Amino acid sequence: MPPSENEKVILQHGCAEAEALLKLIAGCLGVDLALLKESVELSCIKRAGFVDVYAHTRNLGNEAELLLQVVGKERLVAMGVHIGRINGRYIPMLGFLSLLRRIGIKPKRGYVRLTEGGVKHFLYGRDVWGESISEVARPTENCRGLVAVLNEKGEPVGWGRLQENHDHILVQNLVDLGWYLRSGV
Amino acid sequence: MYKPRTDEGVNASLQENFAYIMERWKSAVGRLQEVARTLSVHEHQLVRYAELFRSTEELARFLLVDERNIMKTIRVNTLLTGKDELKLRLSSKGVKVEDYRYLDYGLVVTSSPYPIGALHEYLLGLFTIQGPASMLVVPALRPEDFPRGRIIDMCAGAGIKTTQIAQHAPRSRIVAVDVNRRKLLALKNNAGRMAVFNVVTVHTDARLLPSFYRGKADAVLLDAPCSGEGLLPFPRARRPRTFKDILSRVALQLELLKAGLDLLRDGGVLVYATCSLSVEENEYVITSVLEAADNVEIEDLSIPGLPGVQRYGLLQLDPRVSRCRRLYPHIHGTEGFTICRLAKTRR
Ligand SMILES: C[S@@+](CC[C@H](N)C(=O)[O-])C[C@H]1O[C@@H](n2cnc3c(N)ncnc32)[C@H](O)[C@@H]1O
Repeated sequence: MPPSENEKVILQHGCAEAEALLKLIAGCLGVDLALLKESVELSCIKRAGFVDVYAHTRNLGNEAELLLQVVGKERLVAMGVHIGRINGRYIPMLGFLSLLRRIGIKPKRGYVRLTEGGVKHFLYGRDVWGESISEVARPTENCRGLVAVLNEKGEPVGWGRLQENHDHILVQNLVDLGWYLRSGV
Repeated sequence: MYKPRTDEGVNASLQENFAYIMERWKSAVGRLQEVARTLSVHEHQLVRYAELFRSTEELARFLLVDERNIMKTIRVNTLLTGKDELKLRLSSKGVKVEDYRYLDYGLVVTSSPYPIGALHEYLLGLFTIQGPASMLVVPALRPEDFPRGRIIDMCAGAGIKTTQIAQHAPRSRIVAVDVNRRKLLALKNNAGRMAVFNVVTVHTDARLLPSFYRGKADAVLLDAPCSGEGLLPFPRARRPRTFKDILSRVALQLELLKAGLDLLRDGGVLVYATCSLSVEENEYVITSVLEAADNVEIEDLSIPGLPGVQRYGLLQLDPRVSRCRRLYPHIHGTEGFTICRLAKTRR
């Protein structure tokens, strides 16, 4: 749905919500927050009820702010890569994984590694469990089971939620790279 | 400064030219009518292309190129991987690729057990699917000459070329614009998938940009909306185009090109490209702009292709258009494309 011309959109460069999202997710994965912050700047696009967080190169924030004063903020589609959304909860997007890959950072915790078959299954949008999971590195408590889902080479292919019950482990599919094909745009 | 021609002026000279071409080739193309019908090619296209090639034999060769003769190419995303690494990964999956002779980070897929766009390497953003001629447009712009500059992609669509600009200039500020919001959502996805962090994407008409960016861009890509006649070898893209269809494209192309040149700072460059081989949509558009602007020059290109066309019916085309490059399906094994590089000279 295209946003209406009257919808109130706020573009904020270097906003506190974005910092909080980056800090939380970096903590869940045990990755170096300082390195992430050095590599990109963050901006928020705020609309009624939610905030979208974008990571982008330096100077792009100023560029967008200047441009949007003329064409109107509702005309902004994206700036850099969409890394997360905040709607009361902190939701990491596929773009967060692209950020890790572009900088060359691998999670130290908060991940599961899947077998080749497990990855295929997961990329169809399905949950995975049992022998499809070859390694589990649990996230910290406050992450509510959020894990980066990795392929055999250690490349992230999506986000999942780890659910453990006695000796049974299930990774619920939150979002996977197959979405790029399924989204229909 | 650019002084736009009136629409009537455009129409009159092109219409007069078309009448001449029709008269000249109508009977000669008669024997190709049957083939043209099966290929959904309009008679107007037959005569225009007969005039372009000045030979009905070459016209027939052009019409009969099969899509299997066009190289199937992918572009390596050098922001995330290297060509050799990707080749190894693809070959371990039984996908056979060869180096693409015209571009060092392009690959030609010769066979694949799977649809290329469903491979995990695609989802991981290690490559994108892009036509062999389309891939040469961004190298013609040489974004690497503006490593921290402002680069405007006026008709960015799904961002296939926008993400390629980012490969050449990952620290530049790329402003990507299109009138089609849905395509820009695809651009957003492509930028995410390919880890491109230096694009701001805005839904607007590129003709409005000079009101804000006049004289402020280092480089501009105008991958103009066009008839798409260069995609003739692909049955899915075939549809008959009358001369009137071409005229309506030319009017928009002239406006977009005028706006694009207004965006450039002195010394800035603009690449004008279309997936069309129509002289009306290319050399004619460029000639019209050169006639009206004394501070625009056409630059030589170091990409493959035949020189731009200087003679086409009665049209007086600027001889400098020979510096443009044309890629033909039946000669280069690519989709048809025309690419020109313009520079705003320093005063
Ligand atoms: C040839 S396609 C661009 C393909 C794109 N550059 C790519 O590589 O993926 C031309 C685009 O021009 C857009 N367009 C048409 N008129 C326009 C205008 N006035 N301003 C901006 N974009 C326009 C169309 O929506 C279309 O996406």
